[in-house]
Amino acid sequence: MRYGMVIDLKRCIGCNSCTVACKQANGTPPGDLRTKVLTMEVGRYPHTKLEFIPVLCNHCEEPECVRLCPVGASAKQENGIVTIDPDKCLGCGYCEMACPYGARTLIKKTTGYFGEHGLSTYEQARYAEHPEGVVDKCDFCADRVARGELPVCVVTCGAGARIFGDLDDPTSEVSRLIAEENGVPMHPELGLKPQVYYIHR
Amino acid sequence: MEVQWTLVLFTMLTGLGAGAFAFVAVGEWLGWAQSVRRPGALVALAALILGGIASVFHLAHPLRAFAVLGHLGTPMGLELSFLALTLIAVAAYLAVEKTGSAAVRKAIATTGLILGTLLVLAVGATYVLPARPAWNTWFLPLSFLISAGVLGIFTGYALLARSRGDAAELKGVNRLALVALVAQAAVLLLYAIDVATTTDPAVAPVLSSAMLLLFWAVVLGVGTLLPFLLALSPSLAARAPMGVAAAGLVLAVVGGVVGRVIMYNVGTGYPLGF
Repeated sequence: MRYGMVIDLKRCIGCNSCTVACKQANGTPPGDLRTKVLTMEVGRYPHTKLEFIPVLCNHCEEPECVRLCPVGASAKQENGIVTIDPDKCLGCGYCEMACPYGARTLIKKTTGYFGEHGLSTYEQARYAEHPEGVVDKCDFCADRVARGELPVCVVTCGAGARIFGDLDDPTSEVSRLIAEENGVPMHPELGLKPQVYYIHR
Repeated sequence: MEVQWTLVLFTMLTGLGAGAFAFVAVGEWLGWAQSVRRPGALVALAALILGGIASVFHLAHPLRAFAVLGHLGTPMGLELSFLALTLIAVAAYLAVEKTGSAAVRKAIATTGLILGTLLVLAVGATYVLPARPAWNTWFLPLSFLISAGVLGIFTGYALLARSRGDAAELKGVNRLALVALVAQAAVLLLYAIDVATTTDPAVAPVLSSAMLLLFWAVVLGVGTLLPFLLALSPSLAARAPMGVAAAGLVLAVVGGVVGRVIMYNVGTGYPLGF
């Protein structure tokens, strides 16, 4: 079992539904985006177009963050998901520095979305899951996956641009798409073997 | 990326501490600078301790740092190991410096020199990351090492001048400082050339950034060339050795700090996309 994701850039419309759904499902504080959609301008005027690239933790097969973590807070699970134990995290930010995908966020201070009004009741409840001084990132919605559900960004994507599944299963949709649609990871030259693949041509 | 000031302090102080003790160790081997071996070792001890404390302030949860002991093979684990071992070596040297035999002193000083070298290299190596193209070169830890050497030599030079040391010894340290500064200029230039000639587009913005001006003006100009010119003048070195040594040390510190500020600023990641 090796969970991975395929993102079909031809389908992504840059609506950021995944970004919002992720924030809602995981209750992340301001500044902490487990996933986001980059908007890139491609080409030269007047032959330009916008390209949308959803990014998240790539759950690398050989993750630098896990290799470098000085306290073993970052770990690679048997199902391929890279997790962070918030009770072990030192808050040194080294993994954030080492991640080429900018997928990790060190939560320095939890400020809410309502400025001087302080944290709302909802925020107080949800931000307790993301303590200050701890690094946070996408875990492929590990709790949902353990219950047999799909990550919330996959379920929410109206364009069906995100596909989740087992990369070890050659019959899974993710494996099929990678093979048939020429799915490629981002920056494979770094040798970290990312488990998020993109279809972009 | 944002400058991590606590780590700037950590890398500077551990470099200065390891360098100062290397100066003491070389003194043991060559039989000179006897009057400053103890103060040199004390400065090294203080710098290493302060550097260690500075690194703790970088952590959001310092109490959890004890868990690093279970992961000594990680880059930060290696930093901690070499820092602790270097501190032990310096403390051991201070314990035997007055009463121990020359052979014991030499053995401990040499051990401390080797451990201090490994400490500085380990500190530099933590930044050699595939995700940060401008750091992903061994010229980075090498530049930390040569900077530590320069800081250590000027610390020893200042201590020797303060103790009104032997004129021949002062001249010898002056020559050593000149050689170290030439080596520093060479390593820094090689590092800059390595970064500048990389074909990766992620590194290209470095060439046009204000950081390049800081590199030439402050790191190479103020931090390397100026102390070199000060030390190069025989009359100035003979007339005011303390002034030359203290100014050289301050300028080397300025160059080292600015060099690290540049390092953080050019430590950008790869652009995301295809």
